[in-house]
Amino acid sequence: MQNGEFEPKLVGFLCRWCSYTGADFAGISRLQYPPNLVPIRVMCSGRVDPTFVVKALAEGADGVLIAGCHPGDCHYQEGNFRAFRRYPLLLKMLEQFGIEPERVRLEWISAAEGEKFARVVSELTETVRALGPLDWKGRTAPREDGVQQGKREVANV
Amino acid sequence: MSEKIGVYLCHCGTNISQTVDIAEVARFAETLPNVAVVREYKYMCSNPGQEMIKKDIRELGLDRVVVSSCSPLLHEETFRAACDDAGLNRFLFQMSNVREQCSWVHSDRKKATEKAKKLVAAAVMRVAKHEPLEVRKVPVRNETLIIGGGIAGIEAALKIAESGKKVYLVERDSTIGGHMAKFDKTFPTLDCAACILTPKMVQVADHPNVELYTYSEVEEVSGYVGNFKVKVRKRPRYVDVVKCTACGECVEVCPIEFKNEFDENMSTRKAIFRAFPQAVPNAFLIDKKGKAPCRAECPAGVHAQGYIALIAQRRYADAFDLIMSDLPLPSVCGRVCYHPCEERCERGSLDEPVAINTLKRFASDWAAENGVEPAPRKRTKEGKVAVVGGGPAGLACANELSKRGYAVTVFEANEKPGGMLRYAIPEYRLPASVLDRDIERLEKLGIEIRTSSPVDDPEALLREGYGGVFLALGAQKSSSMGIEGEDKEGVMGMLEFLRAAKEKKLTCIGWKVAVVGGGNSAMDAARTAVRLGAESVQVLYRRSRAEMPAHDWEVEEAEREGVLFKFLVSPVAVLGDGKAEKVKCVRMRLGEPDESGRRRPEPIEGSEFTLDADLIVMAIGQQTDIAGGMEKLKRSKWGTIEADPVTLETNLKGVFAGGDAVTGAATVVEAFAAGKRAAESLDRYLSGKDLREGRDKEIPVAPSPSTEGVKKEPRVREPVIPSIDRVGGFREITGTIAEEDAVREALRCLRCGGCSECMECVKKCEPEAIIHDQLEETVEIEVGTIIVATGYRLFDSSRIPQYGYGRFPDVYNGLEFERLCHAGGPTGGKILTSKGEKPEAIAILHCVGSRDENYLDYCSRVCCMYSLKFAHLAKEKTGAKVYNFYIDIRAFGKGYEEFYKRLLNEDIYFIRGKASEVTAVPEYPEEEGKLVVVCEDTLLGINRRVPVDMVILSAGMEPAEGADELTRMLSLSCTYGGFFMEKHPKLAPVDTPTDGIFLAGACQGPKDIPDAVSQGAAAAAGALSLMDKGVFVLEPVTADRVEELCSGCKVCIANCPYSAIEFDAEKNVSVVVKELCKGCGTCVASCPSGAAFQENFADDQIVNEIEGILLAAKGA
Amino acid sequence: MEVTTVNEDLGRALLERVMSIPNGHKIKACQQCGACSASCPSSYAMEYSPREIIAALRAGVLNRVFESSTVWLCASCYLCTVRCPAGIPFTDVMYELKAMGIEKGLYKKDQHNIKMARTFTRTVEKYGRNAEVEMILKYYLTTNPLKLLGQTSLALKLLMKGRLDLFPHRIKGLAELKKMVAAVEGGSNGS
Repeated sequence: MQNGEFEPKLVGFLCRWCSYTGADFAGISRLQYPPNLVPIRVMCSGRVDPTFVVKALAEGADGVLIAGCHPGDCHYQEGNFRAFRRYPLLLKMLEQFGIEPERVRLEWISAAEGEKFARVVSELTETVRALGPLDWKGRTAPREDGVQQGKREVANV
Repeated sequence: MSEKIGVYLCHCGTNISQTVDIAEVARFAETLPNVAVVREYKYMCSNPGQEMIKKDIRELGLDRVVVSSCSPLLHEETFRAACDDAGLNRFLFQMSNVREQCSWVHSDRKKATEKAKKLVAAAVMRVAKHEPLEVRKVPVRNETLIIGGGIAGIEAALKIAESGKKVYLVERDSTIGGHMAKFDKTFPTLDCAACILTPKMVQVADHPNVELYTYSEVEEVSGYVGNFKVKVRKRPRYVDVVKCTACGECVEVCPIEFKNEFDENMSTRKAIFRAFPQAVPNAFLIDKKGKAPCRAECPAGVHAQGYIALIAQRRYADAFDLIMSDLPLPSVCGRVCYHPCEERCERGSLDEPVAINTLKRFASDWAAENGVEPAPRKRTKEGKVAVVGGGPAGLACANELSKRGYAVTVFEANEKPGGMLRYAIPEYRLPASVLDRDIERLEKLGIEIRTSSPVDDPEALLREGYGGVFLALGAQKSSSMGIEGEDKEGVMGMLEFLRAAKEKKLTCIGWKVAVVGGGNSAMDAARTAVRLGAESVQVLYRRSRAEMPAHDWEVEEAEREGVLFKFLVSPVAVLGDGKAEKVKCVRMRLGEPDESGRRRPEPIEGSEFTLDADLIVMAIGQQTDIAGGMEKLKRSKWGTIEADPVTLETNLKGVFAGGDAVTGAATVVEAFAAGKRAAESLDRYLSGKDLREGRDKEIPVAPSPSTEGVKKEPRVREPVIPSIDRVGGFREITGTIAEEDAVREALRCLRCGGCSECMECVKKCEPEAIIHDQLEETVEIEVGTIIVATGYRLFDSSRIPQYGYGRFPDVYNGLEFERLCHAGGPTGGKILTSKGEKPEAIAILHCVGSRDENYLDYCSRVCCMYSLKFAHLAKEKTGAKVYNFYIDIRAFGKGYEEFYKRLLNEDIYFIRGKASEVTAVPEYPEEEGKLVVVCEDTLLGINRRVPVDMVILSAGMEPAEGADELTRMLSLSCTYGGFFMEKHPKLAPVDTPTDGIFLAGACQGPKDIPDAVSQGAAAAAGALSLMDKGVFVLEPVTADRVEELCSGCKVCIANCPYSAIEFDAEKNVSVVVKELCKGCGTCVASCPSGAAFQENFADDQIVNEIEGILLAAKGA
Repeated sequence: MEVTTVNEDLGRALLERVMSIPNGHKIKACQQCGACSASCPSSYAMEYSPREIIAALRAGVLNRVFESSTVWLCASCYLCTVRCPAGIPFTDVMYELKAMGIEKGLYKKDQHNIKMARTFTRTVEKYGRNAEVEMILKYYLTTNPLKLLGQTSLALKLLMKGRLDLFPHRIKGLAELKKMVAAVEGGSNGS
């Protein structure tokens, strides 16, 4: 955190067939993007258990990317649809924790879309940078008056 | 237990080390839990690098290994093998990707180093949770499926077949050869494409190890590497490939012409055709879009489009012959049929339906006038058949059976045959002479008709030696209403009335006629009464006009002839002193709809009235009137004979029944249909075949044809005698149309079915190869490997409006020009303009569609070279001035630059500049009548207008049609433009990310013939190496359950895309079927109780990975 | 051969600015194919074709870009933009170059096109629409009054056909138009 600028910590779950290959393709093409996101390879975006996302945020990540094959292109026919179905529920839950849903992003990135991968990582980095650090503990801790924090804080723009 | 983890950091030359401070990562790694040793090396993947790992495993007793280097997609296998070598289970290894996803994509050394630390920490944390796993091995089948029979597919097929393994080659077109078969010459050597391609085509087709499926498409692929299950849909060719000798006799007689796709629509071909003379398989096929809707609608399945097509060609005798093979009484049918075909006629959606029935009448009458007889029939079958009843159903059956070679005897109870046609259809609609003529023809064809020969006992006929009997007894009795006074003199049944009129037994002096009923026969009766000279004729109908079952035109004609209609009226009694004098009626109103959907009429109380009538005709229906002696036949409650609806079998063996006697009164054409159905049954019965098998399986109805560019044209009208002249007698109302009108009318047909099914080819084909009722077939095959070689499609130049393709006839695309050059093409190899002239100047536009953001982003690679080839051919063949408009010349292949130089020496003009447009608007006198190519000559910096006679657009390449569906079917990925993505652009150019599936040719990206052939061979090698090994090693990534934790909620079952999870009801747990599981892990993510886990992607492994990343982040 | 000066620093700065307009970066992908020049209805009157302007701009040969008539002759027909295989928004680039030329004073002092553009803008600001007679009078009075005489026969012909209004008309809602212009200009100044 030199220069005082906040560097978001991001975790990415990339499906092995499309998005991880797409990220490799970005590398082969030498496309530049911010180094904030660290990838984790899974077999399919459908493997991404929502608890992984929560775990990452709770352990100090400021944002998470889930990336899978485009609809219809899933190597496992419909795993990406499962991910797609879980995603809104996950966001809803995060919102109830008072966490901005923009911190968690689901994207379809094909093996050929190195450029898109680079763009998505850049965008997510900037989005989360603007939102500031997550402070999971602070947000999820019970309030002194005993009322569970549930309202989303107004972002400090 | 505490693990001993070795961490190995690769510099990858300077690829990693220039952005990542490896020494710092090493220092950091030493602090991570369980790390026993950290080493760095210039190239970990090299032998010394691997040796370093092996040595440490052996000497330091490492039990976990992490390598931080490039992408695991590249070298995971390398390091796993090293672990294996050193005796460590290969899955106790984890790789972190600090090249593709770190050093190559970041430039800030400090930040990249921080990220590398996180990646290494994640791997170290993860690997601690790894467990030794066993690989799964699956056998690989020895067969290959090749999709696409272009040059790449052919090459791959030959290579594999030669090795002794089986190949299924599936090609969508009717011939293999692909685009190359259309080419004239090939660059840069200018050798003839056909000369080098056709031997290979023949070789592949003749190869014992190749099974060729042309005109077929892959419909479904399931399974996985080594064991794919494939469904191939074989579209019907309607010609037996084995029997067809490719003599081409059929083509001569085919009346249908279409644009020839093989010549890029610049010439025509017949509906029966082959793509080109050297097509493989060298057999014809029929272009059938489906069953023509007119034929589909006809109860008797008459080949209407067929005789229309023949009439259009003035082949009336052939047309008549075709009609005769479908119908026993063509002139009759041409007059009395209610022609449902015309209602379905697609021409009706443009202007008016084709006058199908009128054309049938024309052909039949023409034949009668010109003394043309149908083809004589030969008796080829042993059995003889008795038909009881000489009406339309009986005669249709007799005609069909005689056509099939049986001897037929028709027993008719009346003095003359014809049934209802003779006695119930009035003379003005069907003159007796016409009926006699049609029946005599049948007799001449060898059908024996015994009149005045009633039959009491059908079984007696069987005993007499007839092999089978068809009962077509008809419905001979008019129904009665059962009202008071119905027995009075002056009340007649409709049939009795019509018959008496027809036999001229009625003389009328000033009748007042009332016809009861609203059907067609009521109209016949009313119009007959008018002609007999009745004073007045009234039709009494209990519903309103809208509900009348009679055809509208019949009602209109009757009105025109003076018949009065009283609707919503029902007679309740006939009044009179012995003789009918009056009819007492009641008015009706319409109530709720009944079962037939028509509103039920209900009497209005107190609305009775009387009207004068001294002749009352009851036209309210017919009943069967089956003579005694037939009591053994089972009847329905309505008195009709019970017969199987498909086979027409009755309860008596060998006795079939059909027509009105079974269905109740119906139309003539339905009677014909019943007769033909009976004939089919009798034929099967007599030849001992199953009566049902394969019956009524029909090709689907053709889709609506395009009416684009078809001019509206009114339908022909039959000559009609004016109504004022009709009523005096029984003259036939309508006449036959003139020959020229018939031809013009026939040309209005839109040819919905493609092939018209005129059956002329069947007559011509000596080897009997034609199968008009062939159906689509689906074949299931099992293969170990798949090679995709689906090729390309040419960019559609009409998408660039300023080049005028599709607007100016002399703007051609590359494939069209290939055909113009080709000796087998539309011009016989002469390069001629659309006006048939030799061009004086030709422009060739490069990069059409390619290298253009608005269309194809990429370079299509082949266009420069084929443009140069065209330039050479154009110059050589025409001597014209040839201009090439190019942006860059890309002559990158072997011998290509030399070819370019050769062209430069051939006085070809090269203008550097992309043409901005092609216009036909002249600005200078020399541009009159020419196409002008406008461009900037960028080397001179001036704008130029070049007048030419012909423009060739060197259009780019796009993926073949249907590539999308294949992408999904095979789980492939696509790169730019939709071309299939290879596993690695350099190191695995013919592999795909899906194991066992390979790519060859232009489906992977634009390429020329040498490259496509090389890839075909390479893909074959890939497939062969897999199959030769015989086994494929699968990653252990399958899911499983901890039984004790499973709550039996079944959520995972719903989530599994492969139905690989079963439910064990006894234990109340779900069970993974390992053979079916493909390892996506979706079920694991969905498991609410944590019972599900995935090998090598277990929850704790991934969670540790997350922790590793964030632990390193905290440390930073 | 003409001597050209390459001003690398200024050139780079101007190039950056052109590339910052939407899709402006696409000039990097120019293939120098000339489809723009051959499509341009005014290129016959230009000293350098649109293609050459892109090349000159990229090479930093600024005198060709700013001291030639090309950018001022763009009729905004967008045909080049539609046809450019590299997707270069030519018309927008031309506007940007005009604006930069004026801002940085890079045009030649005797370039009349600029005066014409200015006179046009002012007339529009005043009336909310073009007022041909007033604009032409002002333009020639500031450039070459003698040339005005040459235009009289054309003016008379137009007048006879009812195609020329002698007196300018103000549009309805001129105040609103001014607000809109001010908002747009204010917006662009703010960025």
